[in-house]
Amino acid sequence: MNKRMNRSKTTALLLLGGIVAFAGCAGSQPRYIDPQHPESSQATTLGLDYEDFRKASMEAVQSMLKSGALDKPGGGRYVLAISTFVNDTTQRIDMDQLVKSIRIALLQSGKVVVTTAVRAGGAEDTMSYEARKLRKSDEFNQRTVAKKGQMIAPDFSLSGKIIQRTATLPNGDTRVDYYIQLTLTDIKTGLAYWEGETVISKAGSSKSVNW
Amino acid sequence: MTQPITIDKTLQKKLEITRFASRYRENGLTEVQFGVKNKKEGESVDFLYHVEWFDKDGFKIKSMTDTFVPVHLGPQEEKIIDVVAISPKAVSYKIVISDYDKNKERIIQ
Repeated sequence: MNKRMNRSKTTALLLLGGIVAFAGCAGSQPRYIDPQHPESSQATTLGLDYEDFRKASMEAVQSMLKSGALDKPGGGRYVLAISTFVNDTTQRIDMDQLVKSIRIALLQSGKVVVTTAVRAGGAEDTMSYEARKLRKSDEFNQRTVAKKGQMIAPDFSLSGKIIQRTATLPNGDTRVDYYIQLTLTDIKTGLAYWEGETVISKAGSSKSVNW
Repeated sequence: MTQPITIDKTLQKKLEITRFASRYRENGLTEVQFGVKNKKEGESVDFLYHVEWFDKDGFKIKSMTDTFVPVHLGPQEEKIIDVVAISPKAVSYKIVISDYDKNKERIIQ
């Protein structure tokens, strides 16, 4: 009986020690930092999260709409193709998560329609091409099959890059700055009609997990 | 014109709306601009703002980029905030200014 109690006490002490050790490793809570007001703190993680993408998307869409770059003379919509998005961070990032919210917001603005038939690296939706293979099939009513010359070529392309810079602060915390850069290029001329950058700065214990 | 701005009770003594303007842009989108000033001399204020857009029938227009935006104001600091409607269907709006600490979970809707 005593042996069993001692074993239970030992187990409890080991568990308690583990919790204390884990808490010690966790360090200070990661927080956003405003470069103009470094004292501001908002709890989050050191890595890029969903809310960061929403913030970047919102800023990009607001900036694009305010710039007038997407105002088509005479009204109507421009056709936008999605180009390359480079992830130059130590995190594994699904860039489509960032791009999708921008696409949805731009579509909603009535200024842009996105083509899924053309994309850097290949069509996003290959069905546009697959469906055209039905042209010679006797099984399909040929009047319902897409004719040649019906696809619309893009006017603009949207490309982007995420850059990460990491530094150690005097108190030992880690500061991580993410630069989310986007460019809207006029495909006919190759000129960038709009460019935007959202900077997200965070600081926290270097022991906290951020990727 | 009545300013369609709602400020959280806890912030009413700290914040002041210094200016307000709205216009219908040539590109068919409504734009609103307002100034917020921290009235406190020795105290910073954190708050969240959000613009809700409504169509001609009064229905709220939702967007992927709908979010509460955090703002930090140092003592006596003023910021001008400018927001363009997310859709040409947006004809009216409501600006909501909330307390950061009470509503920070609302940043992610």
